[in-house]
Amino acid sequence: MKTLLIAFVFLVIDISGSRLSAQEAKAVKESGQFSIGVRNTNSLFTDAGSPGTGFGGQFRIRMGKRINTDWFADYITTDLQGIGFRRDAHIGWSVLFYMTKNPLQEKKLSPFILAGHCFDYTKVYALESGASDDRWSSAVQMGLGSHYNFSDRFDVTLMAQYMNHLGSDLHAHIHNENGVKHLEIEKHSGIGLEGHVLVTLSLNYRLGNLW
Amino acid sequence: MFVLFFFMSLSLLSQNKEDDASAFKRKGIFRTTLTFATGYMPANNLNNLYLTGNIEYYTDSRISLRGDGMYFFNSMNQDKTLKMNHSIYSGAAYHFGQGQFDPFVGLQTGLAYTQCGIIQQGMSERSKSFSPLISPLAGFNYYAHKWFHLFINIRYSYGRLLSNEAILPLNEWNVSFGLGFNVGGRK
Repeated sequence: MKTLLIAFVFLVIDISGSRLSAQEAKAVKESGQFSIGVRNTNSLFTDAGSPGTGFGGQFRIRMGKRINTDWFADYITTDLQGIGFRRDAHIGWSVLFYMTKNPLQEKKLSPFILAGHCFDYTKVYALESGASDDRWSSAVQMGLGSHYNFSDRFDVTLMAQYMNHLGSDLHAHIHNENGVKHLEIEKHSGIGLEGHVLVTLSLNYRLGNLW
Repeated sequence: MFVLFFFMSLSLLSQNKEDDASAFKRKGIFRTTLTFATGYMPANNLNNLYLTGNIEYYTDSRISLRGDGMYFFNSMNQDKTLKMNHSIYSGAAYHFGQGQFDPFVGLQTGLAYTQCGIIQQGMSERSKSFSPLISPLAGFNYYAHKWFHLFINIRYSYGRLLSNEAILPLNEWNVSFGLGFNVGGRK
């Protein structure tokens, strides 16, 4: 009886061990994926109500079945109604949490929520006066998006996020004087909260697994 | 007899085409091109001439990763609005069908390196600036030979030059065609 009990214990350990190994193998397969991509970011509801257009790139490292991370850089330019412009450079990261149980399946949408942080540089320039000002700051962002997986390795991603800058506030005002537009640049030092909506379209290709 | 011969010929021809199609595999094709492109900027009414090239790799029969470059030569009609308008693009294309005739649509993000020209005497050198672009494209390739293919590309670029002296739309239609070099694409 004692021998039978020991044999049973070892059998249970063996079965649970093999199950654990399979689970571990699956977990390994569902993380460590490394992708690179290019992206177009459009900045909305920013200074003077003018939208901006951006160029950028990113890489993506998957941390788990439902967790992914984007590491990105963007360069965005905004036309301030033809009398000035704004340039923004962002470098940062976001965590993506998938809302479906089995994300990243071929020919399916993979919706996610995201949150992250970035460092940024902003410069505003007025054409008429030649005046300009710039600032470095940090920002936090959160939003929603979805991948569409054309194949096992390739996806197109659309996401919208609100980016809130933490730091000195730099913005442009356009005011009308006798029908002539003037651009005024304002910078307020100290901690300010200034933000914009970013809509990003990216194309991503999975190169392989890091682990 | 003639009718029989005609139908036999048709049958053999279609069989050969099917054999060719089945012997052709897009996955793994690496292609590159270098040719001239003409461009039209509707907002500025400019016709531009470029040297353009690309590299493209088919990750499977439907998807390819693609990078393009355009080197600005000049605007026609001696227009001096633009002195320089080079650009690079990267993105992907989606290919239809399976055979050697390869129609596609694509989307790329790009960056233009632009400088305005001196349009009045006494003007100092204008500043150079980088402008982001977004660019859908369409066209087709025809893989008629083991190493070479024919191609036609139509591209639209959307962007805006924001420099210290001028703000100009860079929206442009481009057309290019020619002979490209490829490796892969056969079983």
